[in-house]
Amino acid sequence: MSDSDSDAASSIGDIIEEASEPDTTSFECLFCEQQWSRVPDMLTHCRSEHSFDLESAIKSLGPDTDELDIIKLINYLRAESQKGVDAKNIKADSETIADDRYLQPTVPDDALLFELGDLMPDSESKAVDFDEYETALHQRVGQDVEKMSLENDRDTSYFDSYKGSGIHREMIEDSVRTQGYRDFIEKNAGLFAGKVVLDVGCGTGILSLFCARAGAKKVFAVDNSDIALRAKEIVAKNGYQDTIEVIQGRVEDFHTQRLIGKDKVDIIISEWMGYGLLFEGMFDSVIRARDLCLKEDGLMVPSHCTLRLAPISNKDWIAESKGEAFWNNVYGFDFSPMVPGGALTDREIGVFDVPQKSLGGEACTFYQLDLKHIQLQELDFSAPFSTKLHTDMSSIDAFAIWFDTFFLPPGQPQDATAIDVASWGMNGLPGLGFSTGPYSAPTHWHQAVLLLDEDDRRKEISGGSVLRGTVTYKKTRRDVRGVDVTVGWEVDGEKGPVSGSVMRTMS
Amino acid sequence: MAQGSGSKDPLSSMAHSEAHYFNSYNHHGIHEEMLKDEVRTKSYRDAIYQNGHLFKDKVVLDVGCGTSILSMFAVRAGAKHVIGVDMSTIIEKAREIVKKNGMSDKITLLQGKMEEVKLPFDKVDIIISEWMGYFLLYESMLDTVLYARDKYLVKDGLIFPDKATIYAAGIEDGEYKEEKIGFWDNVWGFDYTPLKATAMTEPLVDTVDIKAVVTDPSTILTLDLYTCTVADLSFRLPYSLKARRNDFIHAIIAWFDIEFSACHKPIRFSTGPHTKYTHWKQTVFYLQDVLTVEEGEQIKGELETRPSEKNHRDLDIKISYKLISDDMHRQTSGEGVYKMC
Repeated sequence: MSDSDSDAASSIGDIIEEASEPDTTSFECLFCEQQWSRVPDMLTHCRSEHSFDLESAIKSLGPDTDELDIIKLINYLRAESQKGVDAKNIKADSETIADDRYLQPTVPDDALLFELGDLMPDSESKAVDFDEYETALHQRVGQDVEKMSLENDRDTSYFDSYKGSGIHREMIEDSVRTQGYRDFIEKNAGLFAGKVVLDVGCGTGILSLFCARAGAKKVFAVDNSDIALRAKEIVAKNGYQDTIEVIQGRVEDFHTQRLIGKDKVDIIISEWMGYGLLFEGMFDSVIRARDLCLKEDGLMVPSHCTLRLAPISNKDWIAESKGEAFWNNVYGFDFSPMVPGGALTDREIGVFDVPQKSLGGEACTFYQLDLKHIQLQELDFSAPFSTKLHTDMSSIDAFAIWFDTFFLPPGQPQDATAIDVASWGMNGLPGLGFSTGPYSAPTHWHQAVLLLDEDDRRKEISGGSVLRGTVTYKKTRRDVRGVDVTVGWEVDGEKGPVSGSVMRTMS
Repeated sequence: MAQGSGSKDPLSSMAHSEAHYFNSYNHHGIHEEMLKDEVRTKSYRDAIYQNGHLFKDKVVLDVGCGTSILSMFAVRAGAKHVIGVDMSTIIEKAREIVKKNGMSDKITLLQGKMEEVKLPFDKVDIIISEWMGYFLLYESMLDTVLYARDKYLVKDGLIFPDKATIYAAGIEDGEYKEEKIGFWDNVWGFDYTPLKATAMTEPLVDTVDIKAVVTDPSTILTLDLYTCTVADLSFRLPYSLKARRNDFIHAIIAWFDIEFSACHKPIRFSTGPHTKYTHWKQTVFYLQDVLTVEEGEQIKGELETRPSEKNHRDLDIKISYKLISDDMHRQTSGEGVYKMC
């Protein structure tokens, strides 16, 4: 599915590809096969390529237009287009869309039907709530309402994996993480008092509960997984049901938007970070939530993340992590094709708690994400780095990548890269942030490790010299939640400069 | 997951959950864990090596061959030819391994579903397979083995292994249950008890100390691989557990034994709490009630298992229990509903 999406996008140029690839959902143009992830982009395209102005068409339906009318309009337009009617010649008015059969999606799993928030005329009076919409659908189309539930397989599996109690326990018990958020909220309760907060990917609702306890006026806790049902019960158990509204769905879904309402939120809080920071692509949803819901002077919590890297040089640790000793003789057979095996392979990024003594150089920051301003396309990036190697190093085996998380409220200097994380100690600095690096207490994120190819591991380098390079993050084409990470590097060797490159996938 | 650019990815046409299942087997770690499980691997090795007379000049099918270890055992035991079939891309590694060990002309490796691959032989003499999952049936490949049996196995052909038995027993597990389930009572100062219910529905795969076992084991089900059908993998069967001592019972555990009865000297291994560790460990089902039992009393009930309708690799399990006691204050009964996913 992701293949066909991106192929369609790439055929019309790089800019579109950048814009549409990062998204977790995409929908087809009303009239051609072009895939889009943002409604405004598709509207522009329809106007210029198909001479069709959807916004005008919606206006022409009259002042009483509601979501149901727009759903019918979209399904009608798609049906007409499928019949081969040219966009310019489609007659769309309240009579042509009157038939209730247009409540059923023309295109199965049509993601556009869940982006209606972008299409609604600005009139407040017409807002129906989701329950009303559902009831209406049930009454009119009966069992077919199930077709409206938008679930594609890859998303389902991702959200399914969050259903059990085990993973939530792992995350809640990760005290560096949970305490990092709690400390910031409690030390800055004044920022939360009386404010409206949106918790993106709320899980069991722990961050929402912290916010409510700190005095937030209203918290919208959104999660697409079934865990939202449990979160709702937990919120009620703790007496916060009037403050915290748990919504099962994606932030960008129109029923979520409808519940949050037209008034924007003061604060977006989210624990979205994945392995290597960007694996699982949940940050995409946070950016979309920010663009849709956050007030101009609103606060992102956390506010910044930095990506950091350090070289690893420790043959013993590598050999053990690759499982060499095991594969060379398995019940009398030669299994050496399985090396590198174990958790460290020549294709994929492994996650480890890297022992400090295995590091072969200083840690350096190579990228900063300012959550308030970063754009989706900036999540695919190339960034330079340089690190001073320890004097006793003669080769490098791998690179460790991790991230640090910062809570910088307004009034604090907003350059996270200037903060000396190394001085924070094991559990971060209460209220300011936490690190997931090898110098800090282990977290469930561990560190992402990229094992170099064997040839590169053999290259002799000069200890004490400066290693320079570039880190590239790029979303995996096949898998929207995966990331390809490439590290190109160069350093002085005994016989002149030595260089190499390693590409590994997190999937 | 790296793919050869020219080859068609057989996973691409699959539902994601299914592809995910096969993909998770691509990671080397899981193969290492399985191969390092000596009880498992050595039982297969011995069953094959000690029965060269059965394997000599025979055509063998290895269902879900993984890294091909069983296929290579069969070649060493004298098989004429072995066909290994696996969905996972691990089969690319298996090809390299087979080549390294000079068996490329003896072993044909096919990537694909058993239902879809074309075997180089119409019939096979022996089927070997390591198909067992946690609780025997979770993510098991038994249905694939049965399909292969019906389609490819010659009359009077052999299956290694050919018998699997599920057992149950009651255990005292107060401390760990409190740690595992009680955790949700107070989470960072909040009441998280709604997740207790979720945790109770999740069977726990873990090693159980034999000292924790309070009752005699009870046989739930024996599967004879020559005769059983896919329908037999959904069942509701009675059990009866007799207490060996006065104690509390917090959970029912289940495990399985595997037998290669075609062997000259039958080979058998168990994944129970009384014997050596295997990667299958045991499966723990916590009960809502804590049963207070006295020596000689019985717990009777039924264990029901069937593949989940939503994802057929998940298992829906129900366990009913009733403590039979003359002491009316201790009489307890209930039912636990579980899902392995």
